[in-house]
Amino acid sequence: MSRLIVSISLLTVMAAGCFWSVFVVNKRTDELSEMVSKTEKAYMSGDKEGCVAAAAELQKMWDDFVKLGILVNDLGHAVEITSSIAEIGSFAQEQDDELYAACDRAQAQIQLFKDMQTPTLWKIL
Amino acid sequence: MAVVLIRACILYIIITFSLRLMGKRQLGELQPSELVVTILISNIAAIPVEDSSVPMIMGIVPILTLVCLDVIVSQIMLKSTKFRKLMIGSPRVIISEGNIIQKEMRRLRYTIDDLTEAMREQQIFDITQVHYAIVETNGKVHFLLKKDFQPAGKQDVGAGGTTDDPPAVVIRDGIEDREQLKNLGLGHGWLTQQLREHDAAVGDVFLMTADKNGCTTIIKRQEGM
Repeated sequence: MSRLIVSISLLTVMAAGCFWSVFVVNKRTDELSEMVSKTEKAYMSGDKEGCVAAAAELQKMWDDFVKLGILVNDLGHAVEITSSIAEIGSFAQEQDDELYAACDRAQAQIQLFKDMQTPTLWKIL
Repeated sequence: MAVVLIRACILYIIITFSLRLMGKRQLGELQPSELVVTILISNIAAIPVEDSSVPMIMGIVPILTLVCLDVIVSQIMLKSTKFRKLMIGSPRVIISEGNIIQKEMRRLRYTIDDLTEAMREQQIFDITQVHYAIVETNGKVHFLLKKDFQPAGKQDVGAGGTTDDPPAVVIRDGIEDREQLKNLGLGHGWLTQQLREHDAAVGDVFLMTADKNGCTTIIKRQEGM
């Protein structure tokens, strides 16, 4: 009976952990996505300081999140996002139009990172 | 490389714990569901060890999930006969009263070579000696020989006898096993008396066995050991 209790407890903890991680990843990726959009908007409006500040904030948010991110997702995806966010930072500093492409790339990668965690039927199958 | 080493150590602990959780039955005869879990565990465990870009949790979660499900399914099988039949099937008789049930053998996709091989494994070389054969759910075949070919027992030769429990180890390497003594219905006082008779202390004994009748075997430690 103790085996059964241990098994049910473990399964419950793991299920809770898995769904909690989905919730956290969804929430944090949405925030990251929002910050990428904010950076892009600040660049479009010619607000250099705002753009640089948003890019720095984006970098900080990603650095905080990546510790959890690599626990639940493939390291390769995290590396891609890390490099895209680093590019956004430097393009924001230089006020380079390449920032648009970097933002789009980061958005797509963040979305993929989020999708990888969300258990949809087609993904399970 | 250090990552791989640490991961391998962690997985070793987790897999050992998992197999322990599945129970001793797992290490002996595997039922179909247990076989599936064992094969899957070995494959899943290899992924995070081989590829360090895959998070280790991706290996740990499925391993523990499979083991937990196996334990839960085993418990349900204990309670429900129908569920047990669904999961592991039921034993099938392939020889009854000395007659081979060919229909059942075909249903089990069991060839005559499989049958004779299983017989030979149990030192049976003549199919006419077999009265009854049953294929267990784990694929093993058990045979019951016809009365004329069964080995004679004590009862057959009128020797009688009792079915005594085998002796148990009560001192191993100088350490007293109180639980065994309790199981045998013997106390610490009895042990002390036995040791006094043999002029030995607990620490001097390498191995001591005893049975329920109080018969003992004492092997003292060799000098310098």
